[in-house]
Amino acid sequence: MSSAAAVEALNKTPYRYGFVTDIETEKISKGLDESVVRLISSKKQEPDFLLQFRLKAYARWQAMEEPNWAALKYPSIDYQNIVYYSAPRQKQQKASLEEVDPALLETFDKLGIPLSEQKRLSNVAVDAVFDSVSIATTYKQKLAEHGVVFCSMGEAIKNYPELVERYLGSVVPIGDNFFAALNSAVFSDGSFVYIPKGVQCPMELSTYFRINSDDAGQFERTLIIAEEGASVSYLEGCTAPMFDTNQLHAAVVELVALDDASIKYSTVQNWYAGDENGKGGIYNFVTKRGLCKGQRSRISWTQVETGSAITWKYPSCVLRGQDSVGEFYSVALTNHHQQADTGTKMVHIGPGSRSTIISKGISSGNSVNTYRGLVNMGPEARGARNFSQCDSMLIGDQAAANTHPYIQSRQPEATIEHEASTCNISEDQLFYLQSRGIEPEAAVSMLVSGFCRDVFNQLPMEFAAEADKLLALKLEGSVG
Amino acid sequence: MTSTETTPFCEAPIQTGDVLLSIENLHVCVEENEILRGVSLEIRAGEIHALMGRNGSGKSTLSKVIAGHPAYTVTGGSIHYRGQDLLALSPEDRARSGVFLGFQYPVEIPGVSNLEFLRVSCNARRQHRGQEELDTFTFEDHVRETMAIVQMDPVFLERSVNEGFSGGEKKRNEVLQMALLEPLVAILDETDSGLDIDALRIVANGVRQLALPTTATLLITHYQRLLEAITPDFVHVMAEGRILRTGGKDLAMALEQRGYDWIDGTDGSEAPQP
Amino acid sequence: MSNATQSQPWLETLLQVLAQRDGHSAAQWIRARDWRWPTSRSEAWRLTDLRCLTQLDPTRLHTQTAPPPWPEAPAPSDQPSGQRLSLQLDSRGHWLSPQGEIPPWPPGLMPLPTGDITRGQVAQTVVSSGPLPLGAQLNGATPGPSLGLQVSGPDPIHLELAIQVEQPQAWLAPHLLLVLQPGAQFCLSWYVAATAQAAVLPMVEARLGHGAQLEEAAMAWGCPGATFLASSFLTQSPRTVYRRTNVTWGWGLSRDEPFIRQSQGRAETHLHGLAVARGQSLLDTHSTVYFDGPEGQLRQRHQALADDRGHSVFNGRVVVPRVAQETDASQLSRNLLLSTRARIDTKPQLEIVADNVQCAHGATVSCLQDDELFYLQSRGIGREQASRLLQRGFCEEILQRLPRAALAWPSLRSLLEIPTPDQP
Repeated sequence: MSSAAAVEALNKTPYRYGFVTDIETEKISKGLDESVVRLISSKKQEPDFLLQFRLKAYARWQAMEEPNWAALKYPSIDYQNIVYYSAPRQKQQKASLEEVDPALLETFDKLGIPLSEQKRLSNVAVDAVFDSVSIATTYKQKLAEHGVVFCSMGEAIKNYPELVERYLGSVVPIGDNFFAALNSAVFSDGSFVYIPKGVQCPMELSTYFRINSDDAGQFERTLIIAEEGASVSYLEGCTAPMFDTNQLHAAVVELVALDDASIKYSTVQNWYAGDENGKGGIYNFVTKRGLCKGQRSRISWTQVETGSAITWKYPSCVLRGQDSVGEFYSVALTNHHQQADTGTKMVHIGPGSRSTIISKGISSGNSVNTYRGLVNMGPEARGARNFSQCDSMLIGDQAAANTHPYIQSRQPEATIEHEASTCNISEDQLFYLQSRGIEPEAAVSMLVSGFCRDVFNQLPMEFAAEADKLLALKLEGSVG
Repeated sequence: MTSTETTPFCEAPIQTGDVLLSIENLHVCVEENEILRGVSLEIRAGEIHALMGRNGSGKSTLSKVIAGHPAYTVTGGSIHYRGQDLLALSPEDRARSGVFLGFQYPVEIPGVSNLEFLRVSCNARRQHRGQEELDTFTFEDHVRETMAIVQMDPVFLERSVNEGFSGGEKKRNEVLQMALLEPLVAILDETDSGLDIDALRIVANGVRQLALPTTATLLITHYQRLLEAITPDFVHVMAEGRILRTGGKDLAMALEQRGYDWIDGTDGSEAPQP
Repeated sequence: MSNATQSQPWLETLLQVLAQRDGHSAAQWIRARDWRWPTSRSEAWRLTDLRCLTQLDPTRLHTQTAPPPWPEAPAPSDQPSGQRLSLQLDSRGHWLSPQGEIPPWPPGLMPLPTGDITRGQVAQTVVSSGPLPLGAQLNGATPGPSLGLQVSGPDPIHLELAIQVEQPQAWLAPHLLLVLQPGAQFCLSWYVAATAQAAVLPMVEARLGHGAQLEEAAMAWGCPGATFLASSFLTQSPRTVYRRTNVTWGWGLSRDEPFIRQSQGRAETHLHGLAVARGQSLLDTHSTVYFDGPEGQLRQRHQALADDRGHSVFNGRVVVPRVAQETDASQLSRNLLLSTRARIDTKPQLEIVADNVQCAHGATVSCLQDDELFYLQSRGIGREQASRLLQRGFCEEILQRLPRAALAWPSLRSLLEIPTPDQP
């Protein structure tokens, strides 16, 4: 079997998470103006500083234009045709899981994220977010014993307003970009993590995002703060039902690492990608940025991007602290008519800061997969180093792979090394595996997974196997 | 793909002397060029055959066609494996049913761990034979034992398939795969090339150990030296896509002394008679 | 940063001035191409400030040239069997021999009739969408004679073109059209030197017939305040070989934009560039290579050195569409950053829609390697001298690809005379 034929056999992609949960929601009507921003804030009974934050962001957003520099083509988004607030109707204060609507618990069960006491994952605390509203957080008690705060953003605003006020928008300013400004104005909920000084978070933290509604935009906001010497590993997963319309997802994630702190943020993104003709799917316009504020602080992004019709995402590190470390490990797989424009920004400000970028893009079908990354060495970044490796794998002759690394240096004592290569699945590799009794589809999966090995090795153990399976699933019709 | 439809079965017992592979008047093209021009060869259980010939005589082509490489088109003739039409099977089904090709240039596969590759491959063959699949731990014990045959360091299990292996290490890895897959017909394409004396001895020992009264081996080689370590029952000499001569191990020795010109008559001397 | 609002009036004035000469309608050229002054918001000009150009006074522009300092003893030709012809640009825009005569065209080199030369005729096919680059736009808007040459026959011909500018406010926009017949071999060398605040905007268009070979070498030496805007457009038929080596230094602003299209693939393109940005020099290269057929090959290497307040910009775009299976393209951007006030921006850019291709790019930015310096020091060489040796070695990697005749030019010495760090 030729590699082309093997690839042809792949292109029927089942999406396992395409069901819709029938649940009563509270929605406001479509459209956005200042009164909607005020309404969202009042529904969430927010303190005044947050209302002001939102209003300022809204004013900035109105003056901004949607960015068009990415290698993405999509019909223009009608921002007045989106619902900006939608929440499953349930009691506001949920004292325990018993008070969570069983339909919601069942939804997460079906997604493989059991929340109930008996079934929950043993070493992972989960914050379950349904249509941008946090519905339950497991292991809160156990985490609290270590002083770790892991709750929804809504709760954080009520219980830790001073932390929120201090850090919200400190890494991604409200006017940072069009989508970040929109999020700042209308964000609904999301996760909040605070690791106190010197604490190593005792378990993996995880947020599971579920989009359920077909007309509501999704605007969560995540904030993670690691105090001096603290460390945490955090993972987010994402799925959505299959609709033949597109849903906008414009999230903002901010990370702050102080002296000697370390944050590892992993994403397995499997939003609905649309069907094989490119109909439907999530528009994923996400701003993720970490600030290595302290000396020797470390922020590591690992992403496995397999879903969404459109991905526009550049998890970045601002390396301000001396000897701070930024890492970006990415696998982006696109199939059918998916478009991904993703990469990272490593902004070296502090002396001795180091960064590593490993990006693996796999394009198949009619998809477009673009790596876009910036490495910037500022004038003070003496002794800073970056190493980047961006590899693309092309499957079939209809897919596109683009590489746009922006390399900028103003510091002679900084070193930048960038390498990029392109490969395909060679007939020889495929034949070699087949001649050892391995089916062509399994062989292709094996080759793709081998191509991604360096990135998968960065994922928390529990999720590495998951990511491998997910890739196989995305690529194959018959296996998995 | 027929593999998924094939019901697992236990391979029927084989007696020494049973015909395992039967090639008749095989013609093969690559793009427009005819590379094999009527090759016939019968291989029985318990036999070791050596196939010799100059570069470009068609030896490697024959081995790849038997394994099912997609680049080659069979334009005439047949290959039967244990009475079954081998050409009708996909490469993976040929491998599963016991045809093994040791590659002249084993392919490097970045990122795929050798251990994982060997396990998946070994289990595909086991499943076909109706044996139960080996889990990771059992397999690792099994593979470590097997590695002793080719004196291979277990560190190679953790590396990516053939990536960064020296020529000799790649060839040992091929023989290791052969040992794990327990083929009925093993074709070794220039497994001796690029090996130093010690590596050659180790590889030859491995191959000798794996040649059983119920299996057959086809050694493709340029040189006599492998045949000093493994005594063939038959030696075939190929030129221009045909088997020109067949003889015993003496033929290989005569070739070593007199060169290929002697066979195809290009040295002007009279072609030897069988 | 220059932007549309500041530069539009300058452009309007310039176009008026240009239009007054010879009744040539400069504005028409610009308008016909729906072209606007680049803004700093556009991706292609984000990093490149055009102020050096717009500081020229459009109302005082002239076309005065000076005799170039041809090397006294011409270096032995690389192709002793071939013909060699040396020409210099005169103040009326004509190419004449150093003796000021109309050149004796050797066999195999035939001037094309003026009527056959339309500026932009190759450029339009090479740049399929979007406007032509700034240099070509301004060249097209400037009236003046074009040189069109048809090259035929297998005997190699070496043409040397020299432009010497010594008067401030000179504005020189030579246009060259080359038509290489199948199998022709041609070597073209440019020697450009500007010692005054002026602008040189050469535009080259070339069509390479089946199996033709073109070797182009360019040495462009400028001074602070001088602007160099070069653009070249090539189409390569199958089995053609194009080798381009260019060395740029000294300019206040230089922007070099080669566009190459392998019209049916199966051709070889070799691009080697060296940019040495010292003082306040801003040297920018934006190259684009399109593969419109299978089995094309690209070898590109761009080396830049930035010292003092120098700034180097490189953008290397490689486009490999579906028809270009088995393309083999590699690109390397090597950069030396030697001062805390200097700046390097580099961006290799690969766009691929073909699965069976070999494409790779690499980029490095660093200062001189300590272990290399140390090695030289351990052999008794002082650190400054070691630094100079290494810088020189860095330049030599590209310079050695120039034709030997080029190395005899005195201007090259100014490139290799590297100031010691102690001197201001």
